[in-house]
Amino acid sequence: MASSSTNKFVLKSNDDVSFEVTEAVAREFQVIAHIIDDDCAKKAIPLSNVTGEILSKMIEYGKKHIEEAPVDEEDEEGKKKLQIWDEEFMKQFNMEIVFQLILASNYLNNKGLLDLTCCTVADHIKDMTPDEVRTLFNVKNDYTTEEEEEIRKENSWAFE
Amino acid sequence: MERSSSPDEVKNVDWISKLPDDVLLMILSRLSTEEAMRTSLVSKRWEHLWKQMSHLVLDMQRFIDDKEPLDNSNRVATLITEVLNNHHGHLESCEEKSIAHEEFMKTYVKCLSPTAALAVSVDLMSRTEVERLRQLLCLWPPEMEELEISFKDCNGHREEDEYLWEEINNKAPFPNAEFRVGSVWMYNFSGSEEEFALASCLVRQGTVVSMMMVKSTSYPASKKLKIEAAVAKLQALLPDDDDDDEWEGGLIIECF
Repeated sequence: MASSSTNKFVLKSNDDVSFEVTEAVAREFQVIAHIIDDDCAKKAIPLSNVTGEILSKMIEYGKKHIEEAPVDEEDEEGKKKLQIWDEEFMKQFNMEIVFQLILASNYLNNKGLLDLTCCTVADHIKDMTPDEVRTLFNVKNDYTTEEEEEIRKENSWAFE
Repeated sequence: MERSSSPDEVKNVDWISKLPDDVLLMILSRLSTEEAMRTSLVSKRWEHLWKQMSHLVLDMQRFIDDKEPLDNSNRVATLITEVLNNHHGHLESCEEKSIAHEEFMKTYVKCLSPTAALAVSVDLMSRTEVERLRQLLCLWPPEMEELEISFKDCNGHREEDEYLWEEINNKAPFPNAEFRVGSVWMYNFSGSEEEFALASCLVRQGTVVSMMMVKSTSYPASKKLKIEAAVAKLQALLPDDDDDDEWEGGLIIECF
């Protein structure tokens, strides 16, 4: 097999934006790694569920995590550096982008980015009342007052 | 994050409810168990989600009142049972924690199958902890598959409740006459009087159905001897079978 740093692949978004990436970056996404392993990656790899905007961000994340990968398990400084980069990386997105990143990293199976994006959402939900969660994420309350009361009672552990 | 400054058209889309369950569960797993449970009130889409979480951490501290610990432990046990009854996913582990109150026991509840397994760490010299353990066991569904007891080293307050186990032994069965458990695993067993009292109580009452396993240690040798002596004494409590045939379904008591 050719070295993964010289081997290049083209990832194509659903709005026809193409990105040339090294094999190592492409392999950050497990679904793409499987496509490569199955030898189906001769031409551009079409990704029907991801827009160019989202894909470019995912590639940026993937590149960074390859270039700056901690040397080993003990490399606390390296881990810390990457963690700080992750935090900064997430700060640039609004909620819509965050959710698109979640869906895309779930679809392309990049565990690191999925964890990171889920964590961002969880950080928002933390310390929020259900009503604040609804407002933030635009969720429609489909409970009746009686149903709400019932749920509060059922889960009194959490609501007291 | 631009919580309030996102464009209007975006605000009208409920992105989060569109996420698949397993992704939402990943988000919930980042929250405390209480926070995750509270999301059940967001909308019907969320009602049952937390129940599929594989790990619950129930923070006892929220219910602990120093003045009336026993009342509280009863309440806590009731609430825990309620939580576990509501939960209907595959629960890998459940941890009961009370960080700030060392005198309270730490409990891990594992519901690996319909018949639950419970792991507790308990200080047998503490009346509160023993009482709490009793209440928790009494509230448990009729038959428990496995009970893991890890004895706490309680060097500090040896004299706290010297007669506690004598009292328990003379009074009602522990935890009660009905409770049955398939196997009991004991960790950090030192062969002390109160540990022996609890073990013999469980053996004599027939509380343990098939196995009582005692973790032995090879050093120091004196400790090993003490544990083995205690186990031998426990075995002596078993009804005398003419042939020591383990296949007849009697209780097995062994070191492991």
